[in-house]
Amino acid sequence: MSKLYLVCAAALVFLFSSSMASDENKTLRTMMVEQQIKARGITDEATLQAMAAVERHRFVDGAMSERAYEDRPLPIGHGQTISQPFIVAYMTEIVQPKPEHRVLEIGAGSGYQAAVLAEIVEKVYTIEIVEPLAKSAGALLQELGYDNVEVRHGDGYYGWPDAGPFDSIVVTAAASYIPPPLIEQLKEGGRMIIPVGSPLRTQQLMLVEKKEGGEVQTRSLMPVRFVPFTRTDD
Amino acid sequence: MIDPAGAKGSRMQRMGPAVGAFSIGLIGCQIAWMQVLAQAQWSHLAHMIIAVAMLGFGASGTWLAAGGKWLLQRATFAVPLCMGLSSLAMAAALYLAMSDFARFDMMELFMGGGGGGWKLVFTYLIFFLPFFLGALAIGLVFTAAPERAGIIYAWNLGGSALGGPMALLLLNFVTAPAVALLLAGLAAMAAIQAGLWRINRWACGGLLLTMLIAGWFPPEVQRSSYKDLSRALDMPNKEVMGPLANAHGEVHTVRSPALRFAPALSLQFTGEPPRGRAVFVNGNPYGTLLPAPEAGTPFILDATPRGLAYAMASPSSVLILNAGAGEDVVHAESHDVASITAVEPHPLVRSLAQDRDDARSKSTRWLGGTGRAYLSSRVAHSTDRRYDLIVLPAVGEFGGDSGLRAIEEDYGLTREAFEQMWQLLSDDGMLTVSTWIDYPPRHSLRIAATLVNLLQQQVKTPIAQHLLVVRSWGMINFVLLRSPLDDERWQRALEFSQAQGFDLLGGDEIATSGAEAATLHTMDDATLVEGLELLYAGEWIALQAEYPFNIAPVSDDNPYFQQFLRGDQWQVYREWFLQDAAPFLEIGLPLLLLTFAQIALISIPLILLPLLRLRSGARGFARPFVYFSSVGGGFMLWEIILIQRYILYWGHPIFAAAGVISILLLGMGLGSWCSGRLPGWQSWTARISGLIAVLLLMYALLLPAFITATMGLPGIVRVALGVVVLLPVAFLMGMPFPLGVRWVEESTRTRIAWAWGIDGYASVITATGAMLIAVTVGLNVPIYLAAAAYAIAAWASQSAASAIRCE
Repeated sequence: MSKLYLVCAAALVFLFSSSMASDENKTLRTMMVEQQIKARGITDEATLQAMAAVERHRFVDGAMSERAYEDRPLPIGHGQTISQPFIVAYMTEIVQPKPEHRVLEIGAGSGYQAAVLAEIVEKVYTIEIVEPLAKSAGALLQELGYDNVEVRHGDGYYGWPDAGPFDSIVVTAAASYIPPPLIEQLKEGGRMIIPVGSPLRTQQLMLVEKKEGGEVQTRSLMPVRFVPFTRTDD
Repeated sequence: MIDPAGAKGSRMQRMGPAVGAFSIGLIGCQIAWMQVLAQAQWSHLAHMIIAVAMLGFGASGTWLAAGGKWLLQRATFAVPLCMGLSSLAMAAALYLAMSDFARFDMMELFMGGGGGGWKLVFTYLIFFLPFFLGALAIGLVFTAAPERAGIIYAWNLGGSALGGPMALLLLNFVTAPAVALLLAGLAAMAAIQAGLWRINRWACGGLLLTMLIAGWFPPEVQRSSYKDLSRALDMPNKEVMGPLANAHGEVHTVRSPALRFAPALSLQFTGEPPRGRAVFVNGNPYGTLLPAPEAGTPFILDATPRGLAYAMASPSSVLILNAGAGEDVVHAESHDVASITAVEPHPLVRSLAQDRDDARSKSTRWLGGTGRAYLSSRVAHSTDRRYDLIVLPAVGEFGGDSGLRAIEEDYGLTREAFEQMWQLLSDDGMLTVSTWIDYPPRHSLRIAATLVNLLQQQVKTPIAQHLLVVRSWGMINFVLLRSPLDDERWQRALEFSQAQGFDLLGGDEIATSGAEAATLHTMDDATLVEGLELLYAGEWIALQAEYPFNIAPVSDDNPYFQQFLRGDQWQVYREWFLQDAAPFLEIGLPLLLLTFAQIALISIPLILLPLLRLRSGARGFARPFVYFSSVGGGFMLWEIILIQRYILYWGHPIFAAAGVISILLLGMGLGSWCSGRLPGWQSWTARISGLIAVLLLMYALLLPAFITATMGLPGIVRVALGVVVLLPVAFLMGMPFPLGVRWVEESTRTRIAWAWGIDGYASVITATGAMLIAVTVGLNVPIYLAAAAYAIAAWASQSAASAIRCE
């Protein structure tokens, strides 16, 4: 009988601590949205809700999970990182996702960006070139119930022609070139966002817009505006 | 006074060869460790770890001075034992540093997690221990046989002089870990020769067996997963070649269907970029070995901003500097250039690029050495050789390098280098150089400022007629024209930029419309375009005054092209950092500062610690302290700057470092040997130190002119001249330390150990300090400081001698 009490007690402690941890993460997530994202000028309600909903701590290693809501990128293995929360929010907002959109992501990594997008849009297609990451991201997204995300292991260069064209493309693994097939798979009026930055910190983001008629324009965006010099004759 | 070695004192006096062999092992091992750490991590981290670990030299002096009597009384036992333990620690450090348990990753320090902090401290300790134990052994020999200090010091310097070149030689044949273990084995044999054999033969056998086993199974370099090579190795269906061992750095090549070459490719391009074999040196990208395009097919670089020069004209002779894996050579070949000269310093990469099966132009000449060395030789020797196009490699890295290269000299991008390039251009010649777009703009504005500065000196026509700038989403390409832009070339430039969807920011366009010219690729901030406008107006000095970064052209006296931080803007940077508002990070100079601060903080208490023990006999410690710290610091200031100067003169950083260190140490060894023949220290320490101070002043004034005047001579002549110029001062620099040892020997042997420690600390502190000063204010200031240090040493010894005479 005493054994049964012990088992019940242990189960209660486990449930209680799980619930405490869950509450704590929710609080941290709320603080993250308020202090790191809203405070820096992200206003898109859908983006803010998605950032508040996705359990970021599930997308980092156990040892790092308690730092998941800090204002920084975190390592996920294979020399890859899960981006700083603000960058994820900024990239999400800038592609202006709508519920009916189909979005392509290049570089699934941990799957976090895909999960945030999946909270907003109809369908997310994500490609990861590092096989172990592709497998783990796919399994995790499935476990978390993101049925509207498809993960593929492969070379992101060719995009996902069978599923295109896309309303937006989010490239999280920046390369020194923008693959022509991705531009081809972008709808007219569509937007593609690419980070261009050092391994330690994202310096700038590049927005590629395909105008009506097919003309392609780019714009360098700064996540945080640098204070430009002022000319003496100003 | 203690007679430390007693009847065995003579054994200490015969330690010279063992000290020499051990020094070879210790210094050679240090070079090999630097290579291992640079391959596993980054060269900055390697410098930081080894600089801190070298405090072991100073700490050994502290240990000896504070509690060394016991060891001194057992010197014949302690010296070989310390040498043996040091050799074991040399081997163990390598295994531990590469183990999963202790392997440190610099990125973990920045991103948190992985125990980055304690692993860094542990790494310091494991590399510190061999230096500490080794220096303890050598310091004990000095202290036990001060009357032979000159000779022992000569063996120590001679061995150290050979250690560097020997390690570099071995690196051409075996991997860096294997070199470290071989040299640790040499240090173990030195320990046996020093007397370990007599102490315990089983221990000797065990030591040798351990070294053999370690050498047979050297650890593999465990590369950071954040290095580009590690990421390339994660690519599917990869083919890897290498590593190819080389003193210039370990070379790997990787081919994968996912590795393509298309830097800042036009968004109008609809084909498929070529797949090449990516080349990595020490795990960092070094270029791509590319196949030649099929006949009639444009090369991929024609769809990037780097294609502008070829779009404007058809050059018949092209010079490609620092050609890397030869992408620009393939580009020139695809335009059927009749004469191509490519200069690349890395022999293995050059050989890989040269041996391409499909090289279209058999007339391409591949040459070794740096681009600057080639420029100097051509300018000096050829009046008829002119190039229609000079191509420089892209400056900076895609995405930025976080300022990691801020403390690397680059003589290929100085004002003097561009002046030499200008002289080698044909009448209608062009020079092309590109930069990756960085934010806030630094590389691009400094290149523009350098070119504008050159044009202001060379032409009378408006600058806009001589400088075109074309920009894609990721890269800016500058084309400098020797003769004013004509309509035909302007039209071709316009057609090119329109076809590729690039923004033409140069020529008449920028002179008239400036920012409006940029339409396809816009930036939220107009800093770049406005900066370029100011530069085109010839107002780069005004721009420099307002801009929070230093973008002024660099010179041979301050050749740190990628150092952009300004001393008067620290408050601004601090505010950005604290607000987390700076979308940039420049960590090269801060890392150097951090290294300096760490060394200074550790050293100062350790220097002062023995004084607590010396309280009773501490009278008169100030002058020896000033003397030894000045001599140690002055030498290191001189050595570090000399290496920087000789990189320009001898054309390669590795040869310059190995050559300068070896010549200085050999010269000093000779001087040290001869110092034993000088009667009494009182009349010589001040004279010699003073003479060195005068000579250093002369070097500071005359060396740059000497280098400029003789740079065009053949390499072998430059090497010979360089040796001849250095030897006299090196010879003299070998004397102050042993003479100083004779000075302090008269009071107490403990002070010899203390002096040994001070010399060690001063050397390590000033090695980093010299780089800090050089990067911020130029190469001459540290030499003036070195001269001042020797003058102070002269004063300290003179005043001590006078005091003794008065007594």
